[in-house]
Amino acid sequence: MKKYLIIWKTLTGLATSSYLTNRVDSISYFMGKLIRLSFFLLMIIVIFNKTSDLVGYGKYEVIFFFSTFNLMDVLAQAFFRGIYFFGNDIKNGNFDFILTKPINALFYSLSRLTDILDFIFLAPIIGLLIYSISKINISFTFINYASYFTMIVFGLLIIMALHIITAAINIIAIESEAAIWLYRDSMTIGRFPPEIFPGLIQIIFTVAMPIIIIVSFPAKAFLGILSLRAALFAILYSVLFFALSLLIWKKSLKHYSSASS
Amino acid sequence: MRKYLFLIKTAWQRQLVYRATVYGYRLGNIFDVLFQVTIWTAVYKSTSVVYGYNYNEMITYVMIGWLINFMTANYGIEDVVSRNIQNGELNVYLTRPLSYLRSIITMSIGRTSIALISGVALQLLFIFIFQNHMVAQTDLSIILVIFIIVILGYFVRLLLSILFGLIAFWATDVSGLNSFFATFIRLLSGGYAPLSLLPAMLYKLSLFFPFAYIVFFPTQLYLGKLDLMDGIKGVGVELLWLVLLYVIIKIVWNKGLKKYEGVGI
Repeated sequence: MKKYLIIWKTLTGLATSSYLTNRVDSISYFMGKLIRLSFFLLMIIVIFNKTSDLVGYGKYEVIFFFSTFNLMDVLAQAFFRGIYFFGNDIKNGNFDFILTKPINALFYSLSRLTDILDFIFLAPIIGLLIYSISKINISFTFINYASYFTMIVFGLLIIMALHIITAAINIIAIESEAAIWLYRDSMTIGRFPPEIFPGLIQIIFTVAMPIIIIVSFPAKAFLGILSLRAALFAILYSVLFFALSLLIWKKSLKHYSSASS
Repeated sequence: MRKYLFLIKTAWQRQLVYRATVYGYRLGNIFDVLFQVTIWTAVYKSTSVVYGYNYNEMITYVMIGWLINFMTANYGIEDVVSRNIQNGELNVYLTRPLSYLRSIITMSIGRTSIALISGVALQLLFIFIFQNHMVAQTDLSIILVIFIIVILGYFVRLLLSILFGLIAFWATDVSGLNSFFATFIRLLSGGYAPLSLLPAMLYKLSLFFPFAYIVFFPTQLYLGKLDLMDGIKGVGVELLWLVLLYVIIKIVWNKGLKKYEGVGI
């Protein structure tokens, strides 16, 4: 465990140096994210200029859902950015070098690039979370915060599993860099409360592609509207989904063809 | 002419090899379109007009906007240009009896064709599904002007991408810059939502840039919120921008070549 922590710290240090070397590029990347966040926030404000509620949620509750979506999205990118380079490693046969390193190949592939800019981007998101919480007219207790963090942890477990599955798809199909972008595109579903979608879509994005568990369940848990049954289902689902992703990863390794190496 | 046709053919064949990736991206686009339709449907349950758009007009904006987005997209030509510069692949082009800029423009036509066909097909399917909630434009002269604007929009977007890619002459990494420009163009072209939703000052400012003429302007024409004369003026503005961008690219290219070191040769 200590060895992996040292490796992660070293990789993060190297990534930070790289970002500091390309300062203009890094600032541009950060600004792009900030513009996108600001635009969608503006869109929520514009919507609430015309209506008092959205599928039963008030303005600040919707902003809270939106902030939670951004929190999960940014945490995933901060920790698992390495997987975005995995497709190229497979195509070029560079995965050979990772397999020969005396560390877990999956750990290295997931965390080889810690996105320090995303860590910085957490600041405006957390600010937005605190602001929306302060504006929601409910007195929150320890239970609300504890259930929020619990659901976030299990949501992150599902996100990690999804990243592992996309890596496995890359190994099996070689030409499939779209897999990770498919996950990113599907995450957009979580920007707003899930009730805006018809029932069938909600079921699909809870069970088949669990974006609602990842994003909406933590927000609902915090607002005190997530049933205990749903929370237990999410915990069990995330553990099983993670175990399944590891199985798929192990199977996929047997398909690795070392192309181009 | 034959050599440029060969470039298109080669780029087309390369895309055929990576067609699963293209289809994967299309699947992702379904979520984007679905998300926009759903959010506006939820909004219009409690109001009938949002910033001058009724429900059918908003759904039309989403559908036609995405169709035009697919028709004008070049799928990261800026990355191709910057990669060519940074990896020294530009050397190969410089020794060929072909202009690099013309090669890239020609190649992009072959490179985007499969993505364009699949994107347009997907969007036409969406339009078929949502036809009862859409506004129809039947004026053939307006449709013709929209078509011209869309073609010019493709080249405006392409030249902008090439210009952004050329920054690689001066920077070691441009992926962040490219990501910023992609967001910026999508926002100011009306790709996320109608520009009328922006604060008035920002909206007026956006019309001075070429981006608004890529998606927002032709969609407004389709919706009948702009007339034929506005459309013709729009064509003029796009032509002006095309000339201006080409001149800027030529200047940047000539300056960049002096800086180019052929790293990776």
